[in-house]
Amino acid sequence: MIECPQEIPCDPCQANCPAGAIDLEDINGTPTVDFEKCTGCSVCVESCPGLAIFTVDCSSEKGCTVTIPYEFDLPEVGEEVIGLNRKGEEISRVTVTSLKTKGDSAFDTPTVTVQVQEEHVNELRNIRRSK
Amino acid sequence: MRINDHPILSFPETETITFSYQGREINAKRGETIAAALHNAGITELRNSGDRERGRGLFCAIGKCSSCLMKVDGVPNVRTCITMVQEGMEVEKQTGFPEIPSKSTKLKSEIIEKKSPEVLVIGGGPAGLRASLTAASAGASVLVIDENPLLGGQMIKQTHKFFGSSDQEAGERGKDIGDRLSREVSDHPEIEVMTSTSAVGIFEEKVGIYKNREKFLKVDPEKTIVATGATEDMIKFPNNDMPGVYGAGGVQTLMNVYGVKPGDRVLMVGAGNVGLIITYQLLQANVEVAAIAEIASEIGGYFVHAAKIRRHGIPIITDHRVSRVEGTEKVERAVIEEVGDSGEVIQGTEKKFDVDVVALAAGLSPSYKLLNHGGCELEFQPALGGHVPKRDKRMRTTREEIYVAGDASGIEEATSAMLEGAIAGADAALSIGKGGPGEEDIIRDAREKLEKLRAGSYYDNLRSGLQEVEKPSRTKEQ
Repeated sequence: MIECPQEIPCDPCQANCPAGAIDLEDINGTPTVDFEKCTGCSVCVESCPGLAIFTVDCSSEKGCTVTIPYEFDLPEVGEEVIGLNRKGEEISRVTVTSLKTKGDSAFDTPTVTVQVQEEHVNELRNIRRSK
Repeated sequence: MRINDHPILSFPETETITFSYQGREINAKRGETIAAALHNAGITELRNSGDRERGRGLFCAIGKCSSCLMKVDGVPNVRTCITMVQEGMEVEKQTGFPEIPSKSTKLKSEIIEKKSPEVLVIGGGPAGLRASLTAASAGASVLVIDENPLLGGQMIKQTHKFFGSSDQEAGERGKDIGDRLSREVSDHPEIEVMTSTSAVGIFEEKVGIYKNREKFLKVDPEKTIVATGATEDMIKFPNNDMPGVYGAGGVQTLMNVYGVKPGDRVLMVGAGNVGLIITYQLLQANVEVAAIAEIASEIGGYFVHAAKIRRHGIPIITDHRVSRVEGTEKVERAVIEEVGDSGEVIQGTEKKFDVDVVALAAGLSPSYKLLNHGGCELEFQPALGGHVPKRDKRMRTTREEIYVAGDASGIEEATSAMLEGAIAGADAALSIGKGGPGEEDIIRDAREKLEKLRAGSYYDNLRSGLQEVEKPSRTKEQ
């Protein structure tokens, strides 16, 4: 999900997408995703300088996950964290299923993937460690 | 208050040194400024106002304002934000208007040297570094000076990734771009670097520069490129001079360059890109942000930067101005009030925040004073941030031998500053008979990229401002 509605000069999401699934008219355009081509690899989540891209994946039988860029103190895999919406309000407790550290990321941006109830996949955009 | 764990930055351990403040021994890290070391020790009042009535603290942290002037080893008016702390230094709070020191002090003003590079670049930020590299690659000998102790300008504190085109630096963190350019410049055989060195005046033929605490130099360049950047704007409200009121960029320097927290809880003023980005970086440094207050009805910065802090629950309160700051000796509270459509304050809308830091991200103004001193024609252009020099498309000012690049020519961002630097550097080299068709290509390519960067609707005002100050080139090859 690309949440980048403003015409700003920027193109790394489109330039780095291995599936060619992101369309950008020109560098000042707003990006759109061709979900037929998108493989959910999350390269765009890591490469977006504005941290404005999130992967929502409901393809598994085990349920849905949301992958977010996360440049804060990283949780651990299996840890229960607090899921937050776009306003930073608590939605529900969610579990971290995988993560990429800054070092793991080819684009220098850590990401966290959490298991999310289907009704929250379009809401959850941040997490907070419960300490 | 050092930052120990940071998700993006690491602050390596360095040797601990000691210096004295008002006769008291203070520990510091080698490689930090006097002001950063004092902040870490909890000392934020650095001087008094001229009438000795009011305390003053750090504001810009990059040597542009006079808020941090202190007496160092008997010499007054030392900008402690850009002067590295040294073992055994004697630092005193500056009170009132200081006396000119006698010759017995350590002020070395009598040493004067000369230098004659082909191109002098004033300012080692994105514009100045790119200008230096471009001119030197064309074969010109270059001297680049910067009054800060480190090269890289404001990029060295920019932990966020840049927007822009992937075939340039987009997606790379500002800090990494700055480090890379600084290394290239330092390694280049045709470039001499002088940090902690200020330009004090551009005269008819020579430029005066001062190597901090060492010597004066007379520089006699063929071409001068002014890439002095910008200054953070102050806004008016009672107690705006109280220690704890900082420029947002000053806060960013303190935490991202020197790893020192500015305080515990911050009110950010201004929701342009600077205010939004630095709020996010405060959160990364584990500093609490109470809110962002914005006087306009809309958020001025990019949607994506606002979204990054909203999802951390930081409120952005539009239509609000800072009414005053309260505290006995330093900031303890900030008060904001709602303003109506015509700018009038709406009574009964006061909101108080218990904060020890108020960070002002209320805009930037081009640092034009050297250009003014040098006799370059200026124009006041609000869309570009204030007074800027008239110039042609090759960044030549109305004085043939003086170029401008970067924020000093109008407030934009680092990507456009680097492109302007390339243009100025290439043209400066060409105009003294260095380089050739390759430099013409660099200029053409950079101009095309600038046009693309500025094409979006977000930049409508900027484009019309630029049209006003860009004059047709005076030479035939255009």
